[in-house]
Amino acid sequence: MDKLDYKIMEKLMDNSRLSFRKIAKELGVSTDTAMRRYKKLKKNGTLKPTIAIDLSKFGYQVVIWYMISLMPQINSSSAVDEIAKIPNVTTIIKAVGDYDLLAMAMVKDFQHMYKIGDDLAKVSGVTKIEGRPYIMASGDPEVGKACARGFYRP
Amino acid sequence: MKDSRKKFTDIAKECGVSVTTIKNRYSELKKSGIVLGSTVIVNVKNLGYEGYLSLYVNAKFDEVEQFLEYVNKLPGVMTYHVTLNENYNVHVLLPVKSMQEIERRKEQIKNHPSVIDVKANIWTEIKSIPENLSIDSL
Repeated sequence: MDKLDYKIMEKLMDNSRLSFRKIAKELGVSTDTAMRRYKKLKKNGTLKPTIAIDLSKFGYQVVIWYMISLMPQINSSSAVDEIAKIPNVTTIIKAVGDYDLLAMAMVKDFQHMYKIGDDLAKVSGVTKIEGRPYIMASGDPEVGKACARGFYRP
Repeated sequence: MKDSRKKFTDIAKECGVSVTTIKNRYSELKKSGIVLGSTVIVNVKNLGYEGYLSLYVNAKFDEVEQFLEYVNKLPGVMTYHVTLNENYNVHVLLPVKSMQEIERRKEQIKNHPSVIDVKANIWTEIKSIPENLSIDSL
């Protein structure tokens, strides 16, 4: 990783559909260099290009953070793989402290919130789930991009 | 959502429609505000960070705004927001490179005069799967 990689990442955070030609021009490098650097960053898992959508337009009103405790014998990676199959869980975090995993999900209403809670309870080794709701801001492109990245920063 | 840099020609092929149709649909989705833009999810572990410090902060009720202004100016804060938690009103997330940094970052937050209490958790890995979101109907 060098300064050029960081600069390419910054450009793509604002607009991941920016053409390699434009990135290269703005950074004063060749198109081939910009393309090569991007491919490397994507291949090694540093970058994942995505779009930001206004979730409220699809009826999503609340983000729920489910704090999950696992049985001591359970491998957290296998629990993560199982949880990743649950629709609308968009971020899974391995943690050390009060809980073992944190799953972030977008929900439409209370019924939806309980449904995801029930799905999480079926994951092997889960012993406790605690849900915390967060009201979502919507319509602001910057907030949308931050949500897409998994993080909301006002 | 799976790959925002995917070529319109490839999307058109997969959907069995023309490239123009895909281009027009994408423009319409942007115009109507459904697609807000595009971005990249960055895996900070590949940038030399070992993990994340998750801090739940109990800030004095009438000084929360003041505290948020302070956090906003702190370099390296990944995200922060007001929470509905009964014991803590602000959540702050910071990527950290070492154990020493965990201590230093926690002190930075704890020493603010508006802070009553701080609870720390360490996040070791974040998996982002935005494509998991169901967007089948409007």
